Amino acid sequence: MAQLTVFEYRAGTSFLHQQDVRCKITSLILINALAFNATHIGLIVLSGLLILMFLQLRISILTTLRNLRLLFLILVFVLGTRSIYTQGDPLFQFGFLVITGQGLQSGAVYCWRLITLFLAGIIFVSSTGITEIKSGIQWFLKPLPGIPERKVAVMISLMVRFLPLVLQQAGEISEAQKSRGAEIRKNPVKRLTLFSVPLFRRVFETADRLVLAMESRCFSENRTDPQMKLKSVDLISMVILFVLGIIIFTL
Amino acid sequence: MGYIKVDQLSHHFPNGKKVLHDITLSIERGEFVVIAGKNGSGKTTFCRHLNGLLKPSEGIISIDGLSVAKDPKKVRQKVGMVFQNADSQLVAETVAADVAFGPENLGLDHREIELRVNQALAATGLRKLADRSPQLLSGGEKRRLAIAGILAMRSEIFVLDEPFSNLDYPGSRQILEQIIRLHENKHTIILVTHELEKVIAHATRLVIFEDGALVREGKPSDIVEEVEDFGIREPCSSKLGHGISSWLN
Repeated sequence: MAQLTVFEYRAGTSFLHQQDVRCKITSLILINALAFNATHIGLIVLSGLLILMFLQLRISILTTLRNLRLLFLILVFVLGTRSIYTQGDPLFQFGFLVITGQGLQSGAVYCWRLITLFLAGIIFVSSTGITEIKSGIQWFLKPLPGIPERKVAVMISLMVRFLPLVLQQAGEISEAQKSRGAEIRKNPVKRLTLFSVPLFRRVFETADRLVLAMESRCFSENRTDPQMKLKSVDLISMVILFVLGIIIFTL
Repeated sequence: MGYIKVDQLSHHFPNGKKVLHDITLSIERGEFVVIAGKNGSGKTTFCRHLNGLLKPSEGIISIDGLSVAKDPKKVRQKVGMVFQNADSQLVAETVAADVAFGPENLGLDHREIELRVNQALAATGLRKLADRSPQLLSGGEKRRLAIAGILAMRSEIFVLDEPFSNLDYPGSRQILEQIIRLHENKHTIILVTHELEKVIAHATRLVIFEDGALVREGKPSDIVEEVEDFGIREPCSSKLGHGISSWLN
């Protein structure tokens, strides 16, 4: 039985599903900017907001985090490097490596920020259809001279469409390799090579088939886009988010 | 004059390998043509030429008087294609959005798109699944969704490449019933398969490919006993001397 990956749209009727895509893109940019500038208290407020959004979308945060195992490798790396390279009072020492209290604290904040970014991205992708994303990006790019907004929007929306496919195929290849004892192999470089070569081959084959399928259905950049209607509730939600943003920024 | 006219079609890949040789075939409106052959006999390559996804190395294909090479976009509106791998054909995030993909590409207005999507979903029995993710559908439902996408484009010709592959018994039945309905509704059907058993009773013509060449064509009842010479399994009922009977019975 197939399963949806965390980066996939989930149909629904929640407020986030119905919100105008332009507001959603603005909110996403705002949340990302806040996440990178917020302090501990600001991050607590922001995380609370994201938890509320997850609850509204009826997506389990724990399951989502469990599916983001690869992210935790990045977080461990970030935490490690920040702990070692930030000057401060030493907490532990392993040979020439000194872990400082300030470094550990700063690393933890960076990790928190990264998790916030990922969760905000997942909320956006889970509640916004690909055609909506395309129309929204197109609308934002239209006033900018020299940018072929339709082409760029199609490329970004296809990337969003393709991400779950890549994850699914990575999962299938990983299972197939595990079933043939790939975990016994200790050399991580060899394991990565054995994993990535078939993954890339399959991704390119799938991309090829997707292009054929789209072409066979008369795909063109000049297609009917979904209607975008800015409702008063969208504007109110934006005002609330901006006020919250100012509060978080000043905390 | 044929509705679909293929005249001395040849195709070779960039590495020089010739996959289709000198195919000439004429199909009338409303026919149900089954194209059979072993793996690698050129069936899929031939299908892709009908939709303008490949360009002939030699020869001409025309659909209802339109040259496929010169006017691929108009031809693609007339010829809908169901690919062997249904997963790669699904391009949107919900069933309804996937059906709307084709009409949106045609630049139709929103009201017309909605009407066509609703009609196509009703015709394929997918209305209840309109908000479901296509990834979560069964194999049979995914194929029906691909058919719904073509119905919404109001295509007259359906080219189906191995529509029964990877389907269980109920899924195969659903798809066969759907194809029969399409034919009853005056659509022209071109179906590629190596499993003759399932469709032969409903076809009006059988075409056999071998090593990129068209080697036999005619009424199914006239040539069905020869198919094993070309690496295709003869349907059971025919083998047992009972003629051709529907797989649905």
